[in-house]
Amino acid sequence: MESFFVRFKNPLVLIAIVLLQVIALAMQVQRPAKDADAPAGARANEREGAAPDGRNVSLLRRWTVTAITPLEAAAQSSTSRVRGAWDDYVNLRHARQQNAALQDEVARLREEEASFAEDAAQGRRLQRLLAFREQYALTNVAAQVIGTSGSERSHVLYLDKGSDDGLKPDQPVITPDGVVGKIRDVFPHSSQLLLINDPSSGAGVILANTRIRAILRGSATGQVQIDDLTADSRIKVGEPVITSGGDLVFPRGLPVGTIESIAPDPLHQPYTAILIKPAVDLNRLEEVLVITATSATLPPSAAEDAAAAEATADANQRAADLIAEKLPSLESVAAATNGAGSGGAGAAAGGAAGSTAAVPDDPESQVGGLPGIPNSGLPKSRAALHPDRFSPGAVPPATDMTPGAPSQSQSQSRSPEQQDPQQPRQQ
Amino acid sequence: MDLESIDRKEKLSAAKLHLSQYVVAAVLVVLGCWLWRLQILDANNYRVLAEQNRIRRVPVLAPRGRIFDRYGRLLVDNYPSVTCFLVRDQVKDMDADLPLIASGLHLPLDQIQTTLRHYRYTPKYEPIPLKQDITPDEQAFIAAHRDDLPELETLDEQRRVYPRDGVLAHVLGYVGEVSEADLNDERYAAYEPGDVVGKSGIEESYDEWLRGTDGSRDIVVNSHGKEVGQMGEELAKPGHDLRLTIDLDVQMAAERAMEGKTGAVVAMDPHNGDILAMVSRSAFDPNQFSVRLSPAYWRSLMDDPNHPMMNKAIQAQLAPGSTFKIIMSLAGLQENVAQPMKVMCNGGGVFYGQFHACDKHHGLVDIEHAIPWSCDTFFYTLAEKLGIDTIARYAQSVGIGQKTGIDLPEEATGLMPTVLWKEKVMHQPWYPGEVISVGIGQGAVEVTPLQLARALGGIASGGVLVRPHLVFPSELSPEELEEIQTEFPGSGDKTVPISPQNWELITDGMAQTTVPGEFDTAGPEHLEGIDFAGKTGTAQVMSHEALDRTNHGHNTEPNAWFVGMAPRRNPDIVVVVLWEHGVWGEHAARLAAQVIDAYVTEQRERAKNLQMQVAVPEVKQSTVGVGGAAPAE
Repeated sequence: MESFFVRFKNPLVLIAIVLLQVIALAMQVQRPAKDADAPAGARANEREGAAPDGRNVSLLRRWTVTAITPLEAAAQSSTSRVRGAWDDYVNLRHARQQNAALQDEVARLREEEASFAEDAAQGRRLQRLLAFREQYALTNVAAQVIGTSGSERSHVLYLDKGSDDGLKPDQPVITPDGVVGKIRDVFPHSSQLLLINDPSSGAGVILANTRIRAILRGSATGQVQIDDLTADSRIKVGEPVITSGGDLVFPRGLPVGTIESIAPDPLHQPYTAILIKPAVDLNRLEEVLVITATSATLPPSAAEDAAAAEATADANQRAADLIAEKLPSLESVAAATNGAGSGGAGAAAGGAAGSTAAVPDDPESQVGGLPGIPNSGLPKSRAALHPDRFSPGAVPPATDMTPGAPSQSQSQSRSPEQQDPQQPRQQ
Repeated sequence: MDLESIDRKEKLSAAKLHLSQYVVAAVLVVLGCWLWRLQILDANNYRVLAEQNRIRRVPVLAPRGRIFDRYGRLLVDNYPSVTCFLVRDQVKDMDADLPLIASGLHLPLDQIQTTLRHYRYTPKYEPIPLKQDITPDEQAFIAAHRDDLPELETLDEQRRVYPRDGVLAHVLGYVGEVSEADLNDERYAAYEPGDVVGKSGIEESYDEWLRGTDGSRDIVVNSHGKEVGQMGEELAKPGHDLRLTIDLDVQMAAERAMEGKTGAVVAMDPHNGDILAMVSRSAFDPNQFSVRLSPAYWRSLMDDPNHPMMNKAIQAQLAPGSTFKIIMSLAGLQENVAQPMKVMCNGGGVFYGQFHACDKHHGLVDIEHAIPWSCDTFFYTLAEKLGIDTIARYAQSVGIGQKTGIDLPEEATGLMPTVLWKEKVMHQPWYPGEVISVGIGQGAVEVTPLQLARALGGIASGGVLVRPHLVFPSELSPEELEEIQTEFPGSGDKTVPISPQNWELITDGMAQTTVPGEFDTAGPEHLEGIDFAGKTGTAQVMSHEALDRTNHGHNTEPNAWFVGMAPRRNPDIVVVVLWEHGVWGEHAARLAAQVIDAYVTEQRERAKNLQMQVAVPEVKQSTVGVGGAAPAE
């Protein structure tokens, strides 16, 4: 033992000196006692012996307190834990048995509930199928989905009905919620259902509120979209989309879905990409209806819809005419010169009125004219404010003129009011 | 035993081994060669073949340029339209699909079969246009049958919209699919079957300018020909827009003036040849040509005796009647023959043993009176003195019997008879008596309205004749301008010497025509406040004898001509009106007056030099009075 101190005399002395110095330093250093981590008791102790603002607590004291309080706390909690554990054991001696019983109960109830819900859902589905069949007066075959094609790119399902049940290719497939797709290939007892989100699918649709006609297409990513419409502020997200009946596959007026998003399509200018959220969840199909024949008479709602669509179709057909109305025509001249025409004439004149505003004469303003021949009279000229080069007597004798020389305003008539053809005058 | 057999086998193997080695080596060499050929020599070829199988090129059609008038007012626009094509290399048995296609596209089955037959020699990969301008329903049909009718393709394109009622129809022309005959023509070397080209008018003469460059889209297809993606897109370059010299205000005045009549109106700026208006009636509807033309409409156009497809402004070749007397005056005055002439007009005169009538007894007539009076007797005498070849020389110097060189296709030449012409073409000798009717613009003389506008506008401009045009030469590059001028040759820009005295005499004479008084032939056609000069013409459709023989079924009323201009010398506008069977020249003068008035009013309006309408203040006062009284009630 002695040898130890002798042997390590120098280092021990050094350590002792360093320790002493640290303690001495710690006694001198004072830190504000604002440490929230310190236990409440410690903080109270500090306050008692320190100035009210807690500035004069020495570091050594802090260290002591910090070292002792955890031990105190540990002793305290272990006592209370032992006491608590004893109490628990006494109170819950039978809980394990009860728990087991209750869990059994819950499992049984869940099972029951699920089967009831399934029954109810099936009941509702079947009821709606039935109601749907009655509402649309369509001849159709109910079929079960029995499998998928499995490929990521093609969205084809297999149905348990086939040609023996009257199914043929191109027959539309629906659920009460809306359009699902159409029959592609038919086998005796099964058939292929091509979903509307398959890249090779398509359907003619109408946007239900704006009555705009469009074409629905599937995509390789399994989305349903409209990509043949140009940007139109009338089209809003959430607008329902229904079938137009023009494609000779889907009957008119079946719900397809709602508009989910509208975004410009940079690859396909100037068209927009409109994504449709299908009304039917195409990933969870169970029973579907295959429409094998449509009745000749439409239900009242569909008939109403048909009439509305017909009217819009007429409007669409006249898109070319609308452009034509902006171009000059004889009627527009007559309408423009006859002043404010009524109704359609006025509208027709709207396009071309500006372009012909400078034509001053209307038929009534003509003088004379041959009997029975329109526009065969003389115009009533509007007088000039001051004589110009067109006024009688304005032309100098030939000796004072250069043959073919342009008149003063010759260049005027070209340059100042000449407009860039790229930006025609807006009428 | 075993050893023996092994030995024997080894012996046999050894014998065959060499052979089989060579065989194997030879097979390997052959295979290697094949591999080399497939993978290296022909690699490109096979790659292209494979790509072609996988990638299909779909054209993206470029929209044609729009057309505007000189002030930028829209004349021709486009609208989006969808065409359905048949792609034949996708399907083995197309005939089975035809009934379904026919019902979906609302086409008769036999029409599709005819189309297929028509294109049977074109390569399979080339799409056949099946139906143009399909309806949204038909588009939906194609979309809904993409899986079972992959042969149907749609193509978005821009279709032409022209003004209605045949306004500007002949000037603008129309477009159509390039015909097989055209494709063999050198001019159409860059075109492919199914391309849309200008078929007449500006659409034809400026086709290269208006048509854009088609782009293309490379789509990736699977083994069923189904589109599964897109590789790349080459954007279509739209055609250039075109600004015409047409002034829509003047054009519409001319269109209205010709409404319900047949004939033509040309308005031109004689300073530079800008065509301000050009009307030909009866007209056709170019919009009918934008989509497939209905056979019934085509038949109705062909059967119309008024030839609606003909641009009468540049294609009607008719006797100019008395308007020719201006050219006669030019010849007579420049030859110093007309100045001393004093002709006694007693309602006609006897020349070469035959009586030629004048419509009035003008008494003693000199050249100054002869022009406004349009005295036939004077010009019979003048023609007799000048002789046909002198008349022809002057007439040809102002462009009669030659194309003007306007930038429109199929301009007619007209005809100025000469002795040589009669001998060479008609194989008959020239009878001196024939010159008499030439003197009043009858006989064999034939002009187009445009020729007359250029000639008389040039004379009124002191002999400066211009090449008429519908597109500003300044807006074309020198090469394009040269190309256009080579393509449409004509007498072009030219100056004919006219002495100032003769220039003044002729133009003052024409100004007298519309001044009511002693000398007028179109006195009622006076325009207050406008220096409106001109010359009437009443041209008989047939000779009197022919008239007597055959007037059944045909309209034999004379054609009415008027060449008007304002102001009288160096005019800013010259207007030629041809009113077929309009009976009298002064009837045509009224139509010309409408056009001149529209032009002058427009010019004055642009210069803010127009008085307010007189009736306006009175009306205002009365409405104010009513308005003031109303609240009191």
